[in-house]
Amino acid sequence: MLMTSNLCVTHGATSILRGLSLTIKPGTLTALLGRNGAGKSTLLKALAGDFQANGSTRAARHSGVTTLNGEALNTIAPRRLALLRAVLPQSSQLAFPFSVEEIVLLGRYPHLRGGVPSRHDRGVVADALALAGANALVGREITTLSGGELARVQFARVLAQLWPDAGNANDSANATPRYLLLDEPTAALDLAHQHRLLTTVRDLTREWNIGALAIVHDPNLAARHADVIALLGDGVVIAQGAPCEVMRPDLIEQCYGFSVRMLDAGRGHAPVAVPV
Amino acid sequence: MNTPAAAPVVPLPQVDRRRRMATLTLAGLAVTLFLATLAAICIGAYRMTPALAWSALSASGDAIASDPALQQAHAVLLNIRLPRVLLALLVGAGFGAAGSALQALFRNPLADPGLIGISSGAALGASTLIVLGPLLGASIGLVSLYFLPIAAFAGALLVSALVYRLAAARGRLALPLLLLAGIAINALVGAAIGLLTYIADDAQLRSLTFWSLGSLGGAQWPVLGVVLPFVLLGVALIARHSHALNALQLGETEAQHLGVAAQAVKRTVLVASALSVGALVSCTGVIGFIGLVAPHCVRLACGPDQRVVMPGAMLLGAVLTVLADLAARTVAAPAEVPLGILTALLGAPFFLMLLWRSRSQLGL
Repeated sequence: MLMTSNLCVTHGATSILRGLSLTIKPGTLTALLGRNGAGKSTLLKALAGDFQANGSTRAARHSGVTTLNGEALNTIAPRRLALLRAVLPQSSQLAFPFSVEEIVLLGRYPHLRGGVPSRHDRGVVADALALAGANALVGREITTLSGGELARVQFARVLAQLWPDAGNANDSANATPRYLLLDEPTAALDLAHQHRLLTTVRDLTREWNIGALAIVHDPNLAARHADVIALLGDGVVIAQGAPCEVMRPDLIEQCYGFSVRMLDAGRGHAPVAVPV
Repeated sequence: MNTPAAAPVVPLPQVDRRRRMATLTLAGLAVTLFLATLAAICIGAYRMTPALAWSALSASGDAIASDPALQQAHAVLLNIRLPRVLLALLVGAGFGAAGSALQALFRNPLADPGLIGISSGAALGASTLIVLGPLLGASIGLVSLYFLPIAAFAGALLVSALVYRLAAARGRLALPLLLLAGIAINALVGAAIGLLTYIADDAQLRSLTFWSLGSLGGAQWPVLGVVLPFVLLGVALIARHSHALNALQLGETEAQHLGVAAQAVKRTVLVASALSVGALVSCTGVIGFIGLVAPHCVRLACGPDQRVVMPGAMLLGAVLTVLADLAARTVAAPAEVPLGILTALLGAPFFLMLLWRSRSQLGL
């Protein structure tokens, strides 16, 4: 389990998270929703262990306990942490013309000894590209890709990072739980790729026994795919539960400050929020 | 979904193509470097054939003593030609490695030890020691050989830390800031060295002029012996972090997520570049643009993998420097053109071309 409890983060004089607690269970996809500036990315950074790595976030002060499979996050060495969790960044920009495969191969960085990719690593790169719907981009240079194409390549890279080892590929369901943190994975994608990506993530949580957290802006998209929806507001989780429990007009309005009504989306699906 | 261990090798065409290209390029550069070195050894005020050079180096002491031609060739090679060519190799390889590392670290192909002021910082450190060292009571002869590289290293390190602090925040780097910081530091160092000329005596003045132009004229075995460990250490440290520098291209936070100790890598690579650049500048003066041109050309041919760019830039940098120094001492013989002038003649237009091509990135 990836767990944070009583997490407080202040940035200068502004308090961003105030005593927030959240648990991400292996085998589930949690969608994190909230207004702009509500602290979604800050929470993701805390869960990724970014506050432990000194320097990058010097301006922020934080307190609270974050544990990964019961271990305090800040006691796990960077290399081992990289084998236990992967993070998809919100946006990225690369100056040098790496090829698509080279970027995905970088996802194998924590697995490589001496930097030489094995047959398994090459297989993982090809499979990860296929799984991320990016195999048509093989051979392209990263600097020539559109935003959505680059987002899919980065998604393939984090998949390659968490890809099960050849040894325990068959019983990966019993493997040590690992975690996938996605910061707005669907922001640059078209409708079809948004649904495809979240379906893939949800399927992988089962197959690989990983816990996933995705920051999503569209409640309907989140409700369609997530096992758990967490609504973030005023620095705490204001509601958390299965989509059909959380997709209530009052909760959505409390979260976004925007009135909605719910439409029935068919049997077995959470209702759909539309503006009043 | 998972790949069985016995599956055939999955084709990754771009990776394989670039790997082939890298092997070819590195091999080609190695051959070119060998030929350039041979030419630089044989050509000069005293010309000799490769065969004569070989026998002068390999013959026994008795054989040399009995043959006046061989004796002369032996003396020229050992006292003049070899140390100079070796220093040229060292300068080219050192600046190539430092340039490739800085470009990867700053995530920008325009970073160069000269342009962002690191070479100037080294020159300032060294000049300060030359002029002010005697005032502090140290004997210049003793001081210069061993303490110059250290003073230059300190200057280089100071400037690289300052520039990095100025141009980087929250894991991002601002290119305009980086280049403007370079302009400011180069101007400041120019002024400081200018001031030093007023309190320098004649001998010191000659040294200072030498710094601003750059030359391999000071190549002697003891100098090489002092500089070599610095450069080797710097290059070894850079090479050790090549793969981590690749991951750093994704961004600092992203590299940390992949298990790279980004802060430590950044610090080590900055120190290593300063070591290499500082030591070289302390004995050759400011020789610009090698660190800009060499990595860029290798990257054009083989892609941006730092594990290829760095050795390639070292080889190409050495080729360029050996040939430029050969030109420096032959085009106006018996006079000698400062090497820094030649590398600037080659590198500045190259830099302009790079600027032209990255206009969109810089705001046009």
